[in-house]
Amino acid sequence: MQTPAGHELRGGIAYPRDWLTIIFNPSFPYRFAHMLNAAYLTTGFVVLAVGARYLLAGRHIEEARTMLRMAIGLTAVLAPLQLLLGDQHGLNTLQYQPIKVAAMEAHWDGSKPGDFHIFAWPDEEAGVNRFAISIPRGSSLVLTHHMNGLFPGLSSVPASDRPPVKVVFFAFRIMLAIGSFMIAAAMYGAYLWWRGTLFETRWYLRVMAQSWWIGFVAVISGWVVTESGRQPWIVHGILRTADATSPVPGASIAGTLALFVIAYGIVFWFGIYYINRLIAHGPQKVAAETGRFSPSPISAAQDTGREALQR
Amino acid sequence: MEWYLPLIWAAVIGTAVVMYVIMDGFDLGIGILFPTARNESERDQMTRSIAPYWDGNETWLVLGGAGLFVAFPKAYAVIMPALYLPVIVMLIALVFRGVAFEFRHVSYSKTGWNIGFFVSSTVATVAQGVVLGGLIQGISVRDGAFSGGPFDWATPFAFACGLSLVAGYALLGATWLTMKTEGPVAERARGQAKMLLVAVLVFMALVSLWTPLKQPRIAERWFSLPNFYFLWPVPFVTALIAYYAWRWIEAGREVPPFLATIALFLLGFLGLVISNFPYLVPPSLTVWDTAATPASQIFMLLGTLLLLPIVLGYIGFVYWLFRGKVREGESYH
Repeated sequence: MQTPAGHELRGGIAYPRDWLTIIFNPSFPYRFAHMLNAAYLTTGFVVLAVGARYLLAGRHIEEARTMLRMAIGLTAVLAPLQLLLGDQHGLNTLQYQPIKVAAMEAHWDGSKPGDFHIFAWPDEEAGVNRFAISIPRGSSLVLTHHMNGLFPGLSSVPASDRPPVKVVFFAFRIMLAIGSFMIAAAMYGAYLWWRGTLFETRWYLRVMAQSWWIGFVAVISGWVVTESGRQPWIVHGILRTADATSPVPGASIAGTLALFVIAYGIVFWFGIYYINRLIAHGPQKVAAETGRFSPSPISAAQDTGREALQR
Repeated sequence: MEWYLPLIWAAVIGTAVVMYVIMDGFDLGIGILFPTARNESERDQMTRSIAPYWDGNETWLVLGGAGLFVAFPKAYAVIMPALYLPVIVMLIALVFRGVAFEFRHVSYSKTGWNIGFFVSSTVATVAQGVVLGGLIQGISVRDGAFSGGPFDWATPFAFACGLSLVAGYALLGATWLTMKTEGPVAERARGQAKMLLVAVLVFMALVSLWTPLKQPRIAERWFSLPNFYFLWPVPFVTALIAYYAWRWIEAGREVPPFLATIALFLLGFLGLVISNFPYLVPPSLTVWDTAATPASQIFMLLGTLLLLPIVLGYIGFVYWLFRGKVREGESYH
């Protein structure tokens, strides 16, 4: 839907021509690698946070050290790798969805090199940025690998063909900020480990103990960037979102959306509550040590989890 | 090839729907019967009897829905907007139900989740019956798109279908408990099964008579000659199986009542197919009108035919692995 391929249009309807081309479309490898890596990073920082909490509290020391070593070993490799994957993904997007990239960078005038805005308030009416704090030509350097490189600006297409710039711009900034923090945190953790002071550097552990959520926010921000960024298209270049709606009245959609919010609110609230209880109880002895064997890893995990919760 | 591919897909989706209705039917039925349990240990016994299966059972809904989306996109595009509200209510109820089932096991105070499990199971069942009724009574279509209002489905007939399904799933659940549990739970389930069997037969008769009265095309299908010569065995076999189901429950048999209930569901589905074939969106769009291009149908069919035997294989394995009865205070969750 972002970079549709392998289809043919007959009478305004897209028909499949080659299923392998449809699946392995131009942006597939970049999206897949970027998302998979993001999932590992998210989990890595949750493990890091839980391990840091146990160490700070002086509980489950052995397990906590293993958790820190595993999490830092993983994220110190994957966080910098994510920068590389994201860069490649961005170049691919520039090739196939240049206006999305223009919105990510809030780049209006394509005849000039693009600055990288650390902060800006994109004014979509006037087509300019307010209060911009920028690195001159930073975007051009990243996207074209040239100080004076040019890439298309938002003003090159009519306003009706642009995505909501503020949403895309700020979601991208949030993702970048978290990504940079992850790289710094993982590299510094690796440095402390190498120095042999990882388990004693309490300020680092305190920061990490509070960082369990950053991966989730980064993933959602990235998702907002890519999905809002392809607007006004639902299938890029083929079908506009406005033309793809079902004959369902707005009131039905609003009502069911409210139901979903309530349902997920309750479900996730309790989910987080039970997960926290599980973390507070800490790791239990494995089945082999307690003399109780479960037929599968999953049921062993469930048994220990249940034991922990019911204690 | 052009004409039989849609038939194969209709058969795949029909299989998924039947598998879903029977398999998720018995565990939804446990939810419907949940308030009749006397204490927490009985409720544990009931949930344990379905714990290894219930989430697998629900995935048949995914095959049915995704199959409809891929193989019959034009039918999907009409049915989903027409039945939007009951479908969404059903999905949210199923979300709640799964969560209530799992969180009930780990919470200190189970009352809230017990109520949630009962309410969401019942709501999901009613919504499924309403969806079915909404399909049977017909969907207004113009130029291949849904042309009615958001509450077109809300008729007395659709709600009667919803209540029928509650009775039907509860019967599946009660006969499942008779088969899979012991002690007071199994004893009570046997009594419930008798009452529910009567209720199911009343509802089946009601819906079976109401449908042709409401839909002349369905009356024509069943009661015109020579069709009736071929079709009279359907109600006759239904009555015969219902009679034996009653006898088996009375005699305290454990497995046959459950199998007989499945047979009643299969006959009900057969009746539906006879009434509506070849319409996928009664009374206007057939399986051929709404089929995707052969290239899409073949591509998806290859994947389905490859994976379906594997799925059926491990489902069979799971049912075999967890065969036997759940006693009081025993767990294999």
